[in-house]
Amino acid sequence: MQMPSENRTEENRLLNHNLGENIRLIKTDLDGCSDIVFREFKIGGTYDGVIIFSRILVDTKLIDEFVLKPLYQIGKIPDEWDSKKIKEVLINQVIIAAQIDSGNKLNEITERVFSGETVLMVSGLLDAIYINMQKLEKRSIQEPLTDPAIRGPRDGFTEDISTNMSLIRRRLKTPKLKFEELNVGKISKTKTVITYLKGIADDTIIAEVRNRITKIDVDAILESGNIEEFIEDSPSSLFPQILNTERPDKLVSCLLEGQIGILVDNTPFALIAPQTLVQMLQAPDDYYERHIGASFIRIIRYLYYGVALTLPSLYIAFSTFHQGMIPTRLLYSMAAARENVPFPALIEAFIMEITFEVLREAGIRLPKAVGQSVSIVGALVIGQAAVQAGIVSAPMVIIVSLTGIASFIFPKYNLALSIRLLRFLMMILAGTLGLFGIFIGIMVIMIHMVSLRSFGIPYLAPLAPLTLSSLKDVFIRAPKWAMKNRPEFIVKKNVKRVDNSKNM
Amino acid sequence: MKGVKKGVCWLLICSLSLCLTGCWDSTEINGIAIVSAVALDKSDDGQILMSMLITNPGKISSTVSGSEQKSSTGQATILLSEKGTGVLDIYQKIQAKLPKVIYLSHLRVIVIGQDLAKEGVSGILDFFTRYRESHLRTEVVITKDKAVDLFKINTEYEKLPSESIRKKTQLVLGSKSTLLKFFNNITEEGIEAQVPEFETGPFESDSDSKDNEKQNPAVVFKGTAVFKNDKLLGFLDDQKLKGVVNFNGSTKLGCITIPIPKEKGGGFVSLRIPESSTNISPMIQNDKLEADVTIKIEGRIFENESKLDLSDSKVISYIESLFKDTLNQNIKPLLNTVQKDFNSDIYGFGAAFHRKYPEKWNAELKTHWDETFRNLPINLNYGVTISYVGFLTKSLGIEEKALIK
Repeated sequence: MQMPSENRTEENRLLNHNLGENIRLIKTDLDGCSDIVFREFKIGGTYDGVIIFSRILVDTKLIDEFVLKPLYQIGKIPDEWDSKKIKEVLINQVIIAAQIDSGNKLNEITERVFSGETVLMVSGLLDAIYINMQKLEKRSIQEPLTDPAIRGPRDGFTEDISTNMSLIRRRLKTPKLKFEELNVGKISKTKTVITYLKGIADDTIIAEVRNRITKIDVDAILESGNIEEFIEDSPSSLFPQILNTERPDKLVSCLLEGQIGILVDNTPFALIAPQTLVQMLQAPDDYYERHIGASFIRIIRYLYYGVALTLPSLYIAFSTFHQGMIPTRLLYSMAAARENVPFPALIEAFIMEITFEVLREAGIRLPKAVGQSVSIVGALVIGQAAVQAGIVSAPMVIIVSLTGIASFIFPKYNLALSIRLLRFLMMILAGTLGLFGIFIGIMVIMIHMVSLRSFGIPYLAPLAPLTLSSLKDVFIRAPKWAMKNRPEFIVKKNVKRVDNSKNM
Repeated sequence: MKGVKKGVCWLLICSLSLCLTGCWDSTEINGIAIVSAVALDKSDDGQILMSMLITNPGKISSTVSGSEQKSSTGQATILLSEKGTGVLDIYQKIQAKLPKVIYLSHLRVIVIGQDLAKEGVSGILDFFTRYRESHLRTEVVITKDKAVDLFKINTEYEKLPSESIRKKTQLVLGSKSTLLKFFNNITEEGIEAQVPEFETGPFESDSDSKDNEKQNPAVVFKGTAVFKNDKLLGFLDDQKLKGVVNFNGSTKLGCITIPIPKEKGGGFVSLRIPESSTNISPMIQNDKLEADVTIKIEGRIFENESKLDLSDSKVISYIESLFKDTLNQNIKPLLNTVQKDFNSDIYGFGAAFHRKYPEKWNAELKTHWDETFRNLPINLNYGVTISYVGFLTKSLGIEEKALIK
């Protein structure tokens, strides 16, 4: 970075005729990398050869069998063969490998070695031959942990991007399904794949996604969250504008609706963009269960979206400003419960809510074996003991636990996180301005949400702006046969899911 | 950098504006004294005596959070009284006795003593319609006793006398008597206000133990109080009570006992009246005013002490005719009292004329309505049906031969 001129020349350095010089150059590059193996040998009596590979990334048995063995058995290479002919013979007749390639850039060699390929160089050849005999340790396909569903496929993405791509390809057997490969990160060179259905996804959005990803200037990408932060429309908004999922079926259904998936190597979380709030409140089960039941659950989810955001603040507002609006009997029992509580309702709510947040965070961080006991102790502390000690009132415990449960029903953790944060803002507003404050808060949130965009798609679409035809999949889930069209606020062409007039 | 500055600016604006609000209007629930009922009386020296029934929530709900089953010392209510020239004046004096802010949004009942009501109530009720915490759903009732005595009772189910009074009005009278209704009636032309009347009475009507009445009084619905404008005229109770209940019509728990004449075997039949409606239709014929009142009543026989055979439809129609007579006996004198004695149009005959003949009403009727109403001929029609005779048709224990058809 300090000496860009030198960097540029290094990037473009080519291989030269002298194999020894090439090896020397590569060895200086790879100095200290103990996993790299330089295996030198003779080919056809006269030529020197070397294979370079990382012994932790390749299958050495395959190399022995299908690279070294044929090379040893090649016999005498006729003198009249030039370097081009030798390369051709090596690639086409000698080495037995499905994926084979060649290149002449020096720095490409190191890259290839680190991504698990084997590099073959022969003296006199200006090109290096890249043979893919990768063997990566990977986790087997397991059930997604963060995206559970009662009914639906049990396979989840893994850390291996090829596996993930295979899970998608398996579901969409069409040449329209595209995988565009990019490398992101100056040091990490993380493989990132943009996937979409050509003809359904909007080309301008594809171009925008590609553009934003190529513009990322960072040393390393460790998780898709890193990419998400770089390509979001409003990075400082509380609301997530890109969905992440561990479920291939979810990703595929989004592809079918004209969205674009971004797969990142080394993480099971794929990104889906553009994304709207409405889609974040849809769970995969919704589409697999019977539609009436699914619609009911979805309505509940919307209802509790409001509850999770406003319930504690409504309690504060009613109990400190608008006691006249509480039914008389309820007021009596609330007053009786609050009789010995020393704190104002706002402070009481804050104590409880923060305790709950702490418990939840502790529950995630603690080892599984301890987690159970923490939740039991927590439940006793914030539930019974606090009430009995007169620190908080029983209605507040009910309110807090209800909002706590409500914030767990969102299919997406990052959406719940935004609601949890806003809840505190609403509580302060309610504690200072009463119902008036709550409405100010809701107005501000609404204004913010309608002004949000995700890759040009309004965040509240299809509610604002209203697209009547797409409402089939918002508050209710219409049966599959009734949803003949793809969501029209995303898909511009090929809107019909099944078009009998032409083939997709 | 610009974005950061903007952000800091916003943060400052938001956080500093919080200092501007303060929490002036906020009161914790612990800090309010919830007034559930107010009694207004006239004191001996001519001032207003106001009593506030303030609830003590900890003693009301049985499951008090925090500690297990507190020892139930202390009353569910606190009764505070003070004399003064106006409601707000007394409010201030009572407030001085309390460590919590008086809170009137949950005022359920206003009880007015008859002495005060006779002088007119719009003055003292003005506060309860004007003050920001009050609302017009508050019930208004009248008592012949001192108003505050209604709060000194042993309540039965309800821990609060106010709740007890409120529920009884709705159960027995079948309609609410809210401030809204009261003021509607005294401001509307052609109708006067009537307000339920409650008195304290003994729980047990055992004539032997006289002191029982003093020790253990209950609040009993006695009838209705008749108003003219905002002044109390008198009461429709005791003898007239049956008529009131029959005429008002909306009660669900109304019942009526029909005596059976001697020649039919004597005894009585009692009916429940689950549904009834009263319809006033005014008529002007040849400049003569007349009003038809149709009372539709459905009766269900739940007690048959007579020897009548209820399985016979002729008997049923006979009872229906007796039913009509009984109703007539109840309602005729009631209307007579209302027209002649009180001359107060509490059932809204004038309003009915106003609705049907608005020009005529505005031109001449309204100026001398009182006189017209006093002599208004009222025709009573009854639509009586007996729909149900209970689980039995023929009474048990009476031989078939003894039954009278």
